[in-house]
Amino acid sequence: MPLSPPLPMPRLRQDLLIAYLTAAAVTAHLIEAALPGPGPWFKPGLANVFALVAFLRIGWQAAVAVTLLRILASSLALGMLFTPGFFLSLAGGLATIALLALLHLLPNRLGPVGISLLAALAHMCGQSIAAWILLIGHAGILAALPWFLAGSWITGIINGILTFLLIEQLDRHSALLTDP
Amino acid sequence: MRVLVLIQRATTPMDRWLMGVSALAILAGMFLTVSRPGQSAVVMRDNRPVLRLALDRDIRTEVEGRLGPVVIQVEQGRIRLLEHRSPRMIGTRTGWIQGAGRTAACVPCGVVIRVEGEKEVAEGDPNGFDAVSE
Amino acid sequence: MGGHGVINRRVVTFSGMIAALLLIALARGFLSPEPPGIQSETRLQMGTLVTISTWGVEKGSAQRAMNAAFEEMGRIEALMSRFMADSAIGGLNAAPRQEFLPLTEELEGVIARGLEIGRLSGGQFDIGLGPLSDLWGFSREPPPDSPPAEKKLRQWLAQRTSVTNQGIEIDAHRVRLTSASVGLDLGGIAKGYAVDRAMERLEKQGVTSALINAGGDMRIAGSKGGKPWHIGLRDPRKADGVIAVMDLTGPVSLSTSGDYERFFLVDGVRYHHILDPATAQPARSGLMSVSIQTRDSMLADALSTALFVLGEKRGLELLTQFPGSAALLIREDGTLLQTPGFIAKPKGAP
Repeated sequence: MPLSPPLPMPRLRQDLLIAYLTAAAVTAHLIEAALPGPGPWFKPGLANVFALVAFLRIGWQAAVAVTLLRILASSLALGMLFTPGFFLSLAGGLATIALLALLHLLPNRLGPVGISLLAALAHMCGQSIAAWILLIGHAGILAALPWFLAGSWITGIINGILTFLLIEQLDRHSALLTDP
Repeated sequence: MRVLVLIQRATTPMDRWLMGVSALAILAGMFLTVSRPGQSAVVMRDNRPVLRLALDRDIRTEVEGRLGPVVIQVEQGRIRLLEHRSPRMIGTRTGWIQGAGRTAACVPCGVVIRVEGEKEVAEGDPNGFDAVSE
Repeated sequence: MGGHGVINRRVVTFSGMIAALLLIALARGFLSPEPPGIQSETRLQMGTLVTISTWGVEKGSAQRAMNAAFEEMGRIEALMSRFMADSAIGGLNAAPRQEFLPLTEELEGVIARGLEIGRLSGGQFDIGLGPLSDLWGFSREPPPDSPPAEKKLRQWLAQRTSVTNQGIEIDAHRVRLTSASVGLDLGGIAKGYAVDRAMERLEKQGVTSALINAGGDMRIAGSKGGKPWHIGLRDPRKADGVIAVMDLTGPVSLSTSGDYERFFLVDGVRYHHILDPATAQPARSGLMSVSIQTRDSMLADALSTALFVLGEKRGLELLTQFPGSAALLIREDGTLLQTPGFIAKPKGAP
């Protein structure tokens, strides 16, 4: 059963939802940063779920807000603002935003899973291009990109399903959709 | 089964189409990067290439140097040259080489081997010299 | 609804293609402004391995420039090698003594420079040591493993001591050799000269960042996009080891002479290829290696040999005659002496 289109939402509710989603995204980002693993490449990217919820339920500007606020706040909390890791995150985030903006312009029949998948791939491409320019300096990293993208393909689909489930839950709480 | 049902429920037809297409594209990308030709080395006699050897296959062969045959040996992705006639290896102090752009030479024999590809000096590698003065 | 779906599908496919094209364009856009890195080529030239590296030049033009540079070195080798009978130097050495022979302006310049440094070094730097080098035979193949007969060296010394003006006289674009003990061997200067000319050719082709390394002689132009060229200095007693690190930005030349390049050991005594005309023996001046940094490679080449033969005290005196030149000496006990202006730091230093 596909998701119903979003209902119009009052301004204050939008802001509140953005704040909740950002908080959740920051939490996810921080937890992932604490996970052991070889750098930024093999993280599930759960934080993106909340940006996608914002995109699907409020609009692409909300997704921009959640993504950028999340990267800024998390980097501040981790003490890695303006480090290479920050720029990698930022590049991934910007690529995702660009993709969402593009999807917003087009009438399409993609659900959360398709959007999440595209977002994950865009995120990885952005991150890899940034790493190529900032860290590696030669195009050798592009040879590894298909492997990275395969990982993103899996996490993108999983995150898409999580997004779908989260929105299903949200839509049941009609309180979010009425004025206080 | 429940997972499949969940995926079925969460996706639109377009989503599924996209999943398939992107999986194919990624697999194609993997295939392309894997099937890239491996490294090779070129053997030059008096600055003219006489032999090209793939480094992914162990081999032992000879080229005719100015002073007699020079043995070229490939092993485990590395390559080196050995002189028959010069037990002190005056021209071949280099030993095994690997990595794009590396060279080994027997100057008196007129034989140089060079691993092909652009030289890659890793950033911050203190031993990644552009040249050594000797 | 069905028709709507078809339209959407087309729109998505179409936009996907646009996005892919954009991505490719983006990737190419990122590629092209990135300046081309190092292009390098190694060839056998002048009896040594010569590597030319360029930076910031696209492959095709780098290749053309390097070819021109190698060609120039080949031309100079054909002119100045004493091992080629048909070279100008080979001809001069084969000619009867005392007889004046015409000189090209280029060759005259190199010989005059060599003679001048020879004079300033009190005769210890000598471009007329061909016959002595032949006695020792370090350029022979296979290389020697024992010194020549004592008698032959004494004979050479006896003849040599009666020679004035280094046995080489230049007069009105002509030259003559005055003794059988004298034969031109430009080994201490011609390689440096060739490197200078090769760099000139690179620059003529528009290459402003380059490194030429011809055995011990190196010349550097520009930097790698603001980053200096990263040069190692060979450890005299550890093959493949590096004792100091030099980060150099051109124009600068660097030349090293050491007792480890060509040598043999007999009973623990090291016989190397840098010969001292005063003793007819390999120079024993208490140094293992001398590196010179100065403006041109010909001077660096000659000074590194001259200082090696002269030793620390007299060598440094000679160095003061050449403002803008600096030296790094490695003494036989392994300690280093670095004159002001020589850019180097010990390996491992931050």
